[in-house]
Amino acid sequence: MNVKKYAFLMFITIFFICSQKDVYGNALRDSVEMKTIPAGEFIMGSKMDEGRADERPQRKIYLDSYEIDSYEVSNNQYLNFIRSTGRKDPLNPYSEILLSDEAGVGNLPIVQVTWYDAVDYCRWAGKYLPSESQWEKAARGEKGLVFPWGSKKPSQELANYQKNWDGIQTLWPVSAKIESSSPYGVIGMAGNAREWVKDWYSPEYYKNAPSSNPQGPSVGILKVIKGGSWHSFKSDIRSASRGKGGFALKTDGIGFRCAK
Amino acid sequence: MNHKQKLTFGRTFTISFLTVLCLAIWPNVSRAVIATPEDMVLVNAGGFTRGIDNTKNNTFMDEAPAKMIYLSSYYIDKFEVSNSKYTEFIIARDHPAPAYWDQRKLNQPNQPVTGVNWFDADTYCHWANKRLPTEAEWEKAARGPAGSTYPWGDKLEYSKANFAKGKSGQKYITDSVDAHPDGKSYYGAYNMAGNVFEWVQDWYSSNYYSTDETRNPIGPKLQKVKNVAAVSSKPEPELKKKVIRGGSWFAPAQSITTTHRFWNDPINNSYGVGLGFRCAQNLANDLEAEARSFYMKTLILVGDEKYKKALSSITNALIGSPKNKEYRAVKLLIEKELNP
Repeated sequence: MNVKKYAFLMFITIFFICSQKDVYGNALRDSVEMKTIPAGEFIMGSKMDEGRADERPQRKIYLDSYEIDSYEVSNNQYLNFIRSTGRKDPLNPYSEILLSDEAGVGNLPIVQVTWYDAVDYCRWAGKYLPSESQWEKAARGEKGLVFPWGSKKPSQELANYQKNWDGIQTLWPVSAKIESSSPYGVIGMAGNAREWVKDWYSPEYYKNAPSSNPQGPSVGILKVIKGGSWHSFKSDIRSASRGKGGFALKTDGIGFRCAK
Repeated sequence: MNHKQKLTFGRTFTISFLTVLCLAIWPNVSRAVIATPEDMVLVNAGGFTRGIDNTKNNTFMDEAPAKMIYLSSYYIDKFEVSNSKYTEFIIARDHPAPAYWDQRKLNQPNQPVTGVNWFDADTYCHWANKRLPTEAEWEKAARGPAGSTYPWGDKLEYSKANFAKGKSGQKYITDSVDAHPDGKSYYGAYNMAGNVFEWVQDWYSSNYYSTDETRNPIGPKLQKVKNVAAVSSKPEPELKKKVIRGGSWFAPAQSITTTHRFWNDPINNSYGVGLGFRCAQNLANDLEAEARSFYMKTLILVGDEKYKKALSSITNALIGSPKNKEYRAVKLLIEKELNP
């Protein structure tokens, strides 16, 4: 009887430790490749003759070193998270069946996720959602490129944008187009899926942000969404361009990637 | 001539004089009608019942009391602004895309634009040489002079509007902006109930309907907004809300009545999977046209020998055009008829 009781207690304790580790564990749960962005300054925002009022002025911002996912989070990765946490499937944009039963979409970026879904995934993976400045630096490098690949105008060869919905052909696989990767080799930063970042949106933030490791305004109503998506016009896929939406917003074009 | 003969002569003279006048100015009036801008409807100057008394079920405190409100003539868009119209604006002004731009069930060309904030809507309307309607203008265009509960009448009819998740699970969740023609309002505006919520000009205040502003009300004067920054830099709870009207495809039946008032932060573009707008426009030479329409009405009332109503109508005409000799002369004639 005593042994049984002891075993039961042990079991409970081990279970408790394990479940604690689920929340606080540092082990990375997705094995996706990441790129290291070295500490240093980069050019953030847009010049007077370019972009929109909320991206101005153009400033030098210092960021500590960090790592960022080379790709947008894929359906496969996200479904692993769903399975291991017992969460509900996200909406399947391709058909009426469950997303986990949909064939041929594993390497497409996850979409139809809220800002909280993105935060939870990154936390589960032992990472965090990048700040707006981290995202922008990873996308355009230190020298203020307009697009990840440079200042050359986008084309359908370089980026997935200004397209109409076309079933599973709409979104590109997350590893698509090495030729349009950023100076750090990060892929898919213009078009395909728009990406949630950590920061609240304020139209004044590019003016008022601290010049070292800015974390976004402390309060807000909308979150920033960067990079534009498959249906965006070219102006919205510039690296400095600032999309925005409430944290419960879900569309066929909003996904994310994580940092650490 | 005795007194009675005199009066009859006077009356005959007056009526024939007025008939001639009527014919003379008719072309001007009909020209004004023909000149209604494309895809807009005219809402003629006059009173309407705004709000509803709380004695009825299913109404909210902020919709009370019912009050007679006078509005000058204006035009209002027949349809909610569509994605294709909004695309023209995005391209012309390099404006950012709305929140639901890449949601395929909402982004078809003839569906209403969804996911715009108040500033987007305001900027669009000015780009189109229009403006957002005031809350009172929106309400009058939706419910008509008879003060109906729904744009089409007083009975809830599921076929006449897209609401209560009417289309969820289907291929497209909002309807084309020209859908439900039999659910249009008295003035001919489509989808004033359901489909998408619509931004209006006014700030929201729950007790605004009980204020004394009954002539062309423009909402509570809380703060002057020059740009997004001015509003969003204000910390909570001073943050003020703008009114949204009409309910949406998602909203329950009680929020699609013509009196239902709701609110949203002006910077919020993502409320409720269905946030759009339509624009309004002033009449060219507004006051003059309005005075003219009161004058026309006066002549008809005089013809029917309804002198008291005629007097009030000509008084309204003189508000818009106080120095008009024609109007003054007619007013004198009417006064003579009333007090011989």
